[in-house]
Amino acid sequence: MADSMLKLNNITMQFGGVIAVDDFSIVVKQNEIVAIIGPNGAGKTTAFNCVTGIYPPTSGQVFFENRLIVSNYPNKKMKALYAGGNKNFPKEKVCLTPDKITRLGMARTFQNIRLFKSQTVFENVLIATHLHQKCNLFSAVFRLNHQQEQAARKHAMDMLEVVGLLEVKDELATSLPYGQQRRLEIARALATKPKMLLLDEPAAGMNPQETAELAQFIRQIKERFRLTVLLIEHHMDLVMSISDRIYVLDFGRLIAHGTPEQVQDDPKVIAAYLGEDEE
Amino acid sequence: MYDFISANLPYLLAGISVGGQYAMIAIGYTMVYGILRLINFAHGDVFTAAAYAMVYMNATMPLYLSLPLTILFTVILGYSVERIAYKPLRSAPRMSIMISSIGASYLLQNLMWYITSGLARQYPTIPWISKTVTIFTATTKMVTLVTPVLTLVLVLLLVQLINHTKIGMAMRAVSKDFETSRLMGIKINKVISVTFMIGSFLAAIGSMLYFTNYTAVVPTAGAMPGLKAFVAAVFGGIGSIPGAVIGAFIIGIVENIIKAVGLTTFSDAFTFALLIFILIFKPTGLFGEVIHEKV
Amino acid sequence: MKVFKIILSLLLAIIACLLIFFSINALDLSALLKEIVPLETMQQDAGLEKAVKRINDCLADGNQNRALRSLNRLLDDYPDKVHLDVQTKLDLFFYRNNKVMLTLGVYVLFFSAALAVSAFLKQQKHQTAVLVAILVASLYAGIYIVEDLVGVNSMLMTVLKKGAIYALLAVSMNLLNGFTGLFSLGQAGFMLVGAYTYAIFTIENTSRAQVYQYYQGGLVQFTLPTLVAILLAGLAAAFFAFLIGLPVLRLKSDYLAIATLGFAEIIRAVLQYDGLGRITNGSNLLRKFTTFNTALFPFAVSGICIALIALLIHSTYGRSFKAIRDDEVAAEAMGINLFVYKQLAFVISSFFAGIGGALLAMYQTTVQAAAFTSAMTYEILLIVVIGGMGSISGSILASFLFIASSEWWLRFLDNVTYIGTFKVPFFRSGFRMVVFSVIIMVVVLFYRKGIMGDKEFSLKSLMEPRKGGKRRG
Repeated sequence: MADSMLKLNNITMQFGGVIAVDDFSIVVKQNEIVAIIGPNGAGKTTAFNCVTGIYPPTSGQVFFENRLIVSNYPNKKMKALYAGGNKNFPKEKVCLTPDKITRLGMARTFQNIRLFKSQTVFENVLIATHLHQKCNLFSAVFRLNHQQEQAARKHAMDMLEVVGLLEVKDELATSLPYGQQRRLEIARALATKPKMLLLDEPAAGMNPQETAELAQFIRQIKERFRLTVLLIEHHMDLVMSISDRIYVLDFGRLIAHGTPEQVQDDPKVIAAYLGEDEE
Repeated sequence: MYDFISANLPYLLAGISVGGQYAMIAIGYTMVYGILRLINFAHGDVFTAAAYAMVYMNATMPLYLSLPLTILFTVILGYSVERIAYKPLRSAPRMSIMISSIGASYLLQNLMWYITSGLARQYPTIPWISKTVTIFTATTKMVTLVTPVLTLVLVLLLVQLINHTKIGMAMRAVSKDFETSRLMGIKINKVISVTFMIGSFLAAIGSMLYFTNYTAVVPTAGAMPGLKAFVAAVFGGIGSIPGAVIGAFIIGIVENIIKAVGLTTFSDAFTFALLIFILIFKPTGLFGEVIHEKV
Repeated sequence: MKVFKIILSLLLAIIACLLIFFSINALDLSALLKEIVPLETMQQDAGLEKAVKRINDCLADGNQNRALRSLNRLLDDYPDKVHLDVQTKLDLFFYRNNKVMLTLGVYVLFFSAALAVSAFLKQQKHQTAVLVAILVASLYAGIYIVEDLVGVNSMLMTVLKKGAIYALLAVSMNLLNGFTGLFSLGQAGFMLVGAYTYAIFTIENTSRAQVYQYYQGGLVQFTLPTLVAILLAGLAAAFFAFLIGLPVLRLKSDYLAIATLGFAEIIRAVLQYDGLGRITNGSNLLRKFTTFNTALFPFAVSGICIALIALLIHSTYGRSFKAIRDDEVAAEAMGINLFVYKQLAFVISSFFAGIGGALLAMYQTTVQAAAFTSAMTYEILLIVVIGGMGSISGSILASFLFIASSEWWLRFLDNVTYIGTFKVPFFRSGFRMVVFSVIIMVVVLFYRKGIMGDKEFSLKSLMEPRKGGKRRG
C-alpha cells in the first residue's frame, strides 16, 4: 500500500433515502491513469465530490498518500436510513475542506465547467497560484511580495502555454469556445501544482479528433508533471486508450474492475450500458 | 394568581392581536419568496399605503365604499409594484432584483412622505371593531378578538385555495420548480400576479386591523411591522404559509411579554435576535425544506 | 519629448517661484498700506488718517479679516486719494488671495517637479504613478483653493465633504458586496459602532458632565487624539464584524442579507439601552466631540482609506475575493479557504465602515443611534449599484453624484415655484426625494450595471478603441 496515491474504502453516499454511491472502494497507485466509468447517474461525480471534500460521505474513508483526509460514519439520524452495503465502519469523523485537500496536492476539474465568469483567461489561472504565495495580508497590500507575485504570474503563463491558450490570455474566460474552456479548467488545476489530478468528464462535448488530442495531452502532462490521474469519462475511446485500469459503476455500485481489455469484455459492463455510450 | 392574570392579560391579548396582524403581512412575504425567491422589501410599504388610502378615502366617502376601495387600491398597488419593479428583472441575477425591491420600498416611502407632507394622520375608527370590550379584567378593543379569528379564517381559505384550485396548484408548481412549470405551459405571469394580489389583499386587511390599535399613520409606520412579519416568515420556514402564521403569533406574543417584563427597548431587538437564532441553527425555518445544490 | 518636458518643467518652476515669492512678499499689510496711502496724502485728510489707523489697529489685534474689510472700504471711500500703480495693485491682489496664490505656487512647483521626473522615466508603470501623484495633488490643491474662494460652509463644500465620506462608505461596501459577492446589509450597524466609538473618546473632558447629564458624567473620562480615535473606531467596528461573521458568513446570500440587517438593528437597540448609558448616553445624542472644518480632512482620510482598499483589491488577496464572488465552489477547489477569506473581507469592509462612521459623526457634529437605520444602508447600497458593483471609481463617482443631487441640484424641486402666475405643479417639499427615487429605479431597472459596470476608470480606455471579448449572459 506504500505506493498508493489515493485509496477509497467503502464509500457510501446517501441523499436522504436515495443511495447515490454504495460501498465503493478503489485504489489508485502513483503515476497511474485510472478511469471511473458508468451510465449517467451512476454516482461518479458524487464519488468525486466526496473525495475532494465538497460533502462528507454517509460512511467510508478516503486516504490520500496514506493520510486520512475524509472519514465518516452514519450518525443517529442517518443510522436509521442507512441502507448501504457495508456494515462495519471505523468510528471516525474527518472531513477536510476542499481547499485543504487541494493544498495537499489533489486538484480537480468540474463536470459543468466552473470558470470564474467575470475574469480573463489569465486571471482564472492566476487565482489558482494564490495558495502557493506565502505572504500575509499586509505584505500583499503594500506590495512587499513583489517577487512572489512575479513568480506566480510566470507560473500562470507557463500553465497557459502548456495547454496552448497563451494567445487568448486576455480574453474573457466565458468567451472561449467550449473545448478551450475545458482546457482552461485543466490549466487552472495544474497551476495549483498538484500531485494528483481529478478530471470530471474532460472530453464532454468534444468530437473524436479533439478527444484524441486530449488523450495525447493527458499523457503528456502526466509525464511532464509526474502526475497521477483519476478521471470520469463517457468517451470510451479516450478511456480505453489512456487508462491503466478502469472501475465501472452502475447505480452506485462497483460492478467491474480491471484493465481496459478485461472491462471491455465483461458481460456485466455491456449489460449496464446496453451498448456503447457515445456522447 | 388573579393579580398575575389581570396584570399580564392585556399584554397577552395585545400579543395575540398584533401577532395576527403580523401574520397577514407575513403571508405576503412568504408566498412571494416561495415563488420568486425574492424578499419583497416593498411589502411593508404597501401595508402602510393601505392605511393612508383608508385615511383619505374615509375622509370623503362613507365606510361601505372606503373599505372595499381601500382593499382594491392596495391590491392594485401590489400588482403594480410587481409589474414595474420585478417583472423586468426576472432573468437578472438575484442581487439585482433584491436591490430593485429595496429601491421600490425607498420610492414608496418617499412618495408617501411627499403626498402627506410627513404629518402623522389619524386612522379612522372603523365601527364595531373599535368598540371597547372587557375580557376578564382587561379592557381592550374588539379588534383584539376579531384579529386571531379573522386570521385563522383567511388562512384556512387560503390553504383551501392553494390545495384545491387550479391556480393554487399552479402556484405550488411554480414554487417547486420555476423553469419546468413554465415549460409545462403554466402562465407564470398570471401566477405571480395572483400571488402578489393575494398578499396585498391580506396586507390591506392586516393594516385595517393594525391601525385600529395603533392609530398614528406615518410613512415609516409599516417598516417595523413589515420587518417583523418578514422575520416571522423566515422563522416559520420561508415558503410555508402555516409556518409564517405560527411565527407571527410567536413574535407578537413574546414581544409583548418582553414589554410586560419591562424591557421595552428590547422588544424590537428580540425579533432580530430570534432571526439570528433561527438562521444559525435552522436556516430553513421550522417548516422549511432544504435545497441541495448540484455540484 | 524629453527635452520638451524638461523645458516646460523649468518654465513652470519659474512661474511657481514667482507666485510663491509674491505671496510671501505680500504678507505685510501695514507696509503695503504705506505704499497705497503715502504719508502726505494721509496727513491732509483726517478721515483718511482715521481709516488707516483703524486698519493698523486691526492688524495689531491680529484680526486679518477685519483689516481687509476696512481696507476695502477705504479704497471705496477715497478712490482718488489712494496711490495705485501696477506694483501696488499686484501686491494688493496677492494679499487678498494670499492662501490661494501660495497654494497655487506650491502646486505648480510640484507639478513641474513631477514633469521633470517623468521625463526620465522609462516604464509605463512609473509614468502612471507620476500621473496619479499629479492628479492627487491637483485634487487636494483644487479643494483647498475652491474652499478658500467659496467658503467652508457653502453648498459646494458641504457636498464635497459629505460626498467624500459617502465615497469611503460606498467603496467599503463595494469591497464586500461587489468584489466578494457577500450581500450584507449591516453597514449602518458598523458605521454606528465607529461613530459612537469615535465620539465617546473625543468628547472634551470639560463637557462630559454636560453631555452625560443623566449618567453622572459617563464612564470614559479621558480624551484620545483625533487620529487615534478614528483608528479605534475602525478597530471597534472590525471587532464586531469578526464576532458577527462567525455565525453569519456561512449563510446563503438572501439569508446573509437579512441576518446582517438583523444584527445592525440589534446593535442600534443595544446602543440606546439605558443600562449602558454610562458609556453610550442611552437614547440621548452625543455631542461636543472633535470635529473638522475644512473639506481637506475627510478627503485626506477617505483618500488614504480608498487607496488602501484599491491596493488590496489589485493584490492576490483581492483576486481571491473576486474568485469567491464568481464561483465559491471553484474558488475553494483552487485552495482558497472560504470561511477565512469571507471573514477577511467582512472584517476589512467593516473596519472602513467604522472609519466612515467616525467621519460622519465629525461631519454631523452630533451622533444619535436612532438615526443609523437600515435606510442609511440602503442609500449606500443604491450608491454602489448606481456606480457599478465591482468598480471603485464608480462608487466614488456615484457617491458625489448622489450627494450632489439629493442635497443640492434637486433642491429646487422642493420649492414652490411660479412661472409668472402659473404655479408649477408638484413642486413642494418632498418632491425632490420622489424624483430622486424614480431616477434610482430607472438606473436599477435599465442600467443594471451602473455607470462603470465592473470596470475602473482609466485614461487608457478613453483613448483606445473598444477591444473584443464581449460579455455573454
